[in-house]
Amino acid sequence: MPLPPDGSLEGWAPAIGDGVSLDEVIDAAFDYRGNVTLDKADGGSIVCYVSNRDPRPYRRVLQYFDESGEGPFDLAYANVAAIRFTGKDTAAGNSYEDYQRRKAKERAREGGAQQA
Amino acid sequence: MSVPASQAWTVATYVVKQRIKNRKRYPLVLMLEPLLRCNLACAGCGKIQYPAQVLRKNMSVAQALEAVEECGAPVISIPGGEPLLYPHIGELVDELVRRKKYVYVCTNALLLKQKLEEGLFEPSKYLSFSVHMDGLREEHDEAVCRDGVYDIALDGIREALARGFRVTTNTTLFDNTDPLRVRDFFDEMMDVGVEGMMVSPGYSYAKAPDQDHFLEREKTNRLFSQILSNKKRGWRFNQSPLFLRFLMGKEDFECTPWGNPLYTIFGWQRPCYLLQEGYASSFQELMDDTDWSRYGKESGNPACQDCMVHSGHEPTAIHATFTTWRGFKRAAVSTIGGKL
Repeated sequence: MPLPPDGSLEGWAPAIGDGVSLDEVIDAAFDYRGNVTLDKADGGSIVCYVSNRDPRPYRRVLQYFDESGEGPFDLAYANVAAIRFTGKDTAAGNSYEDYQRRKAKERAREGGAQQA
Repeated sequence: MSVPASQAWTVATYVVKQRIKNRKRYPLVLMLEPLLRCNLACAGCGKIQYPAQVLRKNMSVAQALEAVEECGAPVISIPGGEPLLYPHIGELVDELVRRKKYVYVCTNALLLKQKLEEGLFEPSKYLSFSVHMDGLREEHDEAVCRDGVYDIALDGIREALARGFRVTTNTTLFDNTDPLRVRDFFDEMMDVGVEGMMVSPGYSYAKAPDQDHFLEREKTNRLFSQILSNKKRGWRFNQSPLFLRFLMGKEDFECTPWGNPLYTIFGWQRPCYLLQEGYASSFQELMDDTDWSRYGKESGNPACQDCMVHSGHEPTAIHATFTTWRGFKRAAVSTIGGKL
């Protein structure tokens, strides 16, 4: 599954190898400003924020903070089976345009109240 | 330039020592972010969009001081997030002042008056509050996406000045800026009595909600020329005259991405304050393992082409001031003559 075209990764659950590599998915998780669920190759899952990654051949490690904020913990690339973008994307949906629209509505409401 | 002589002397001797040691790359200002949460959500800021457990995190004072020692920069800037929300800010500032570091607490000042009344800080020549002010009331409240912030910040500034603290302002300008309103803002800040002002064009953070109002290089030159060409004698800036000339297009400086390194709860941000490509676990690792040739305008890196931000270019201007006769002469002429 390729990267979603609209830029929002929230809800994305790519199958690694199906058009997208492990390194690409880890990069996307590092760039994502929300929690993800890491499915480990040796079993188990972790809900966490991916804060760093080092793809160099002699390192190949990502770092994460768990849901309680503890971390950073290391996880080898080899131990990542899948990454699901399960948390809210905190960088999305709070645009300057939204703020301007809210302000315009507020001003219209204030103007209406004054006329009344 | 309005930096006190003792601070200018500390920075000048530090730069000259690095030169004598033949140190090619050295930090000038450590940007220390002990937390990422803020009590504002400004449209131009790409710093605070994180999940809750990350926003709740605080760096320990010991960890912060270790970073300060390892880095060795003479000036420490504490942005964030909002540093006055950091529960250990009083202790951290005390420790830094004790180490004779020049500290800038970069605050939106919403909590400044309250913290001063609580007695959290002592006035010192080493401590400045650098208050975020993006223009006059209308422009500032618009930039921070909340009405009333300008008046609260102004109250905080007045309280700090009345208590004998050093206060500067820091202002980020975007492409919808009215140069005449900025000049009025400079007059107002000087009337209030701040020690000096800092200005910088905004940088288009990939994560910033407002992507449409960041400045390109030519527009930056034009805007700052309109603002600063006929600079009033009474305006004081807490930054290098050469950097201001660079913003006006009168100097051509390359970026010094290692000049203002950033240490956060994630580690040492690679490569600079603005680009977030990863983190090194130590300052040495940041300096040694980063391919610096990939950054700056000449590198061709698209992310660097329009960047003229102070964190990358002010260090270049300072270096030029204290290591070249031409730079020193230009800075001296601007400082003494009052013209840029």
